[in-house]
Amino acid sequence: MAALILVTFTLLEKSLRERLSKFGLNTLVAREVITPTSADYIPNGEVPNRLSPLDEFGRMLRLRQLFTRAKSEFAGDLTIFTYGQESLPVLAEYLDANTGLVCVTDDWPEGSYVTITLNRQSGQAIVRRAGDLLQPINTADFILVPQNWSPDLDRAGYTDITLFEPLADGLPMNRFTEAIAITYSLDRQTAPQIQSALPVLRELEALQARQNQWRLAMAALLGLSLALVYGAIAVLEFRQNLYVGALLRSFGAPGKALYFRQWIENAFVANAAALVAIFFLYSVHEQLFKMFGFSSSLINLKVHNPYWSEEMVLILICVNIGAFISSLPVAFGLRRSVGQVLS
Amino acid sequence: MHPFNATGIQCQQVCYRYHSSTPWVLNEFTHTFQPGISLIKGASGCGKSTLLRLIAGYLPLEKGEITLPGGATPNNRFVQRRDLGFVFQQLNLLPLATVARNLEMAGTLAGLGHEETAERTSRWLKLLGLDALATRRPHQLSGGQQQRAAIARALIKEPTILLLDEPTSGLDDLNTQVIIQTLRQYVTGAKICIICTHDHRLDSLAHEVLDFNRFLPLERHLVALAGTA
Repeated sequence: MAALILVTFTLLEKSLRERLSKFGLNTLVAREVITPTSADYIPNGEVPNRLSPLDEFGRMLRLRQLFTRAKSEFAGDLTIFTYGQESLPVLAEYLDANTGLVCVTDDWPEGSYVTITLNRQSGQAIVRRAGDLLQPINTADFILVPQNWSPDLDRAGYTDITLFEPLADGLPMNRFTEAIAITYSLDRQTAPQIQSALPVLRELEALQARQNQWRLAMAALLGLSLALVYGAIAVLEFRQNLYVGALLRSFGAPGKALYFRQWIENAFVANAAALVAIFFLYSVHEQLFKMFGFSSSLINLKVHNPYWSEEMVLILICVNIGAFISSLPVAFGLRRSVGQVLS
Repeated sequence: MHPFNATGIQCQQVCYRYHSSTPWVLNEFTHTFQPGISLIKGASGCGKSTLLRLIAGYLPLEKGEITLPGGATPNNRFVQRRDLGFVFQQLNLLPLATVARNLEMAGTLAGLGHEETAERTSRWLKLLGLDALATRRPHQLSGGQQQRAAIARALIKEPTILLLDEPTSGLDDLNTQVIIQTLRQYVTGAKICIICTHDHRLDSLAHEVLDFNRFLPLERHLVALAGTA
């Protein structure tokens, strides 16, 4: 039971961490919809960045997500993001000397070229993976296009997207979300939609707090169970071994040898029982946790094996402490003189 | 060379009590048990069994001194394993082991080899009429059979000192005769056998008889005498 609960928590935590890593643990995404009627709407031109004061506090990438879509040569639809001159240094690792078009997808080999058609224009785009920088955009397949590559691309409006990754040793994320809200309110603008890992992080923290509480409860429960089980065993051991131990000592068998034999026997039985229980859980792991609703990738034991973890070592340590405790009455029994026991 | 000399078991000023607040069970008991069979008789509580346990080293000696043949002290584990056989009045056999296994275990603990243990097990079971019961467990035996098995287990190591606590208590004549015959054949030469008993059927075995009633306080001594009258 202890192994089951601890493994469940491990999987829950792993699930949240996967979500965080997909999003980008330390990345903030601000989205602002700009329509042709907006005051900020400048077709095919640079708009001053309200968030530029944050530039010195981390890495910033500004993109425009268009409302139209591009076609790839394999007939798949792609979301279009355009980038301006200011974004070139940040996007340098994605760009290619032969083309300014970048197709971000996991479906085609990285570094290959695919033909893209948008707004009745075609061009070759180099295939790249999203990587840490673009992962937080959280869009399946998309294409990056230079802002001036095709005129009037943003005629219908766009979503202004700013990805901001604070310096590793910088201010906490919530300070930046507050700063952005203040900046927009000073400009009398509606604050953009801000997407960050904060809610997931809070969820993770809450889970970790719950997990700690459960661990404590599990430790207490396990301790209580072990105390009851081993206590009962110890009483039985004491009653059973008191006479047999005394009889064997009456033949000259050394008391220490009898005690260690008992201890080893207890440890063997307790460890074997614990290992059998853990192995049973291991053997039904995928079926059991699939039933609990965990994704297949998460419960794949080849990818992540929670049965080879600190928690399992902790369980085995508890079991061995219990085995030792249950052998103590035998030691007390062996201290009594043979003549008194066999009277 | 055998480690013991046939000098007997010397008890010098032996005192013992079970708790510091209780009276002495044995008070300055002095006696030398010579080779042969000694019977200790007396009422319950006069210290017969206590003396056997002190000689065997199963109780810690409080005062006085007990010297075994060869100068060894009673708590000498080597003596306990090799040269001391003890038969308790009850709770004699390991409950989960067969009769043969009980004997083999005692032989192994005494340091006998595998073949010697097997040979002696077979021989003593046969001498005590238990060869057909070798594979039975203690609870499958009668009281007399259990007691004979316990004696066989004490004799498998062929000890120099054999201590028996009420070995025939509650046994029928047939079982008692088997035990008497066995002891008569075994206790020869330098071997010392001390038997605590109320059983007059064992009197014919004795080379000496000790009456422990004389160690009782006067009032208990009178009660004991009245009981035997």
